[in-house]
Amino acid sequence: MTALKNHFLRGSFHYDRNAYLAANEPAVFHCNHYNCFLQAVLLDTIDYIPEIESVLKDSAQEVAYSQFKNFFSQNHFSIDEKKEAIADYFQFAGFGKIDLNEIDTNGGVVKTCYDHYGISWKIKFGLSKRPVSYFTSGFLAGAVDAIYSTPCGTYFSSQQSCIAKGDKESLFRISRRLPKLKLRESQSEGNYSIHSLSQSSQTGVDYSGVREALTHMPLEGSHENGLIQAFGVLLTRHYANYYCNISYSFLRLFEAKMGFKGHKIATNLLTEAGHVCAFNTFGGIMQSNEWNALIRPMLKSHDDWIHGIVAVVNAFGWGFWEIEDFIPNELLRLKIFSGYESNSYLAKFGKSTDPISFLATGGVAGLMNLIYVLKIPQKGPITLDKDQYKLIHSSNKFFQAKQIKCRAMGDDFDLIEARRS
Amino acid sequence: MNHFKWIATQNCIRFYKRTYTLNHDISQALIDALSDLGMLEQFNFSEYSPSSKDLFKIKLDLELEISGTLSDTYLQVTVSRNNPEILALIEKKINQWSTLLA
Repeated sequence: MTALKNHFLRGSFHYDRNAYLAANEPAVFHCNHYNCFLQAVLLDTIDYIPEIESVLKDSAQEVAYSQFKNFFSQNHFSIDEKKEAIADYFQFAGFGKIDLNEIDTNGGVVKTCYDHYGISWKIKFGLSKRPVSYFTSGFLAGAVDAIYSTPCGTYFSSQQSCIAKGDKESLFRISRRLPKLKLRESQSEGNYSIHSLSQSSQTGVDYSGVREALTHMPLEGSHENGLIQAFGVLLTRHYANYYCNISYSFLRLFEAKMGFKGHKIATNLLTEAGHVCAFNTFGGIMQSNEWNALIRPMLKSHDDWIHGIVAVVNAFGWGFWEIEDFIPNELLRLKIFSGYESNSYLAKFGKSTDPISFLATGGVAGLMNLIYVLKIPQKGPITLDKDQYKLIHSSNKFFQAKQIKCRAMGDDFDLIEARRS
Repeated sequence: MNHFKWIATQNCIRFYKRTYTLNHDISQALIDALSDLGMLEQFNFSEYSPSSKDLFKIKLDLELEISGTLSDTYLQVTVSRNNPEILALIEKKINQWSTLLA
């Protein structure tokens, strides 16, 4: 094995807050399904919110810039070393492969045959009519800002071709932004809290062992394509603040256009994205060989599957997930300490008047629906497609979740409860 | 005669995905035979939790992923739709291995 070059960025898992941090920027595991679905939900509102494309790109620019500015400030790197470090981290995080060698202070062109968003979109939705790699585009602009130590927003990237459109490669043109626009730096770690992992006495699932195993698994993009194939999905070590900034900007834009009605619509859409995430990610995990090897031998009953997934989530950088109350087939009440949604929201916007843990709320409902409506534990391998998803909602009493407490509203933790509708 | 059963699932448009149930628990000999097809990775989960089993994966770019659990009968195979003939090759290797054990 070759030694990691000292100008390469990796970061580490912080066990006292269940978070991955790389140059102060928190990373969370999410899969291709959530990445594409969340983006599709946001883009579906483009007729009402034309700013949404800029939100998707600028948010990526802010997090990439903030991370690499931090990283480069710690050591003296040459321009070539900075470019190599950025390409390496892009691959490590599962975003694909990029080469920045054609970039100079005027900008330039980046071409790639492997881009997570382009590939994932095509896999999930088929061919797209327009370019879809907003994240990659913004990431590149932020990276170039960091390489040349210019204020965030100095550069701009536009996508000229896209794998998701059927093009052989995705091509991004980076240039100086006109008119000038100053973007904000990210909220880095945000308002996190310290906690410790607790072991439920009601299960044989070894929470600590699962977290240890998963946080030591080499979940990183392959050298060939920069993608992370694991748990039956394409994973990314994505920026927590990217998800939060696009989601909360979307919420605020909707509120500005439509008032309280807009708030309700945006909340429902973002929670639904969390539900879809659970369906595909948790469902994919439960059908994976990682699950068969690591978790399944610990499971004594179908109800234990809930504990199995909660144990896995504690290694995803999403904070501490802890079951407070669980009545099989009836109720799941789950506490989240230092959840990335509240950490991020508090730092950027301050205290909220409403619950904001949309991903977690949708995720808790999705988990109960997988176990008790689709009855995944009782079935062999199934295709997690639209038909299966519809089965959940065609059930008389599927699970819906409500956020009862929220750290962003001043509580000590998030509390989410899923019950049958 | 085949020494396995399989179920197809389809979570991605571009891939065939099959879960095989083998007649015997997977051994190192089967892993060695399949590892001709790509890059082998092994994850020793039992080091972290004694009840867990060990996982292996064999990957070839975006064309192929085989994964399984040592001492278990499940084998998952994901193959690009551009390369269906590799399924026949995998099944041949399973049958050869299984015949030697029978």
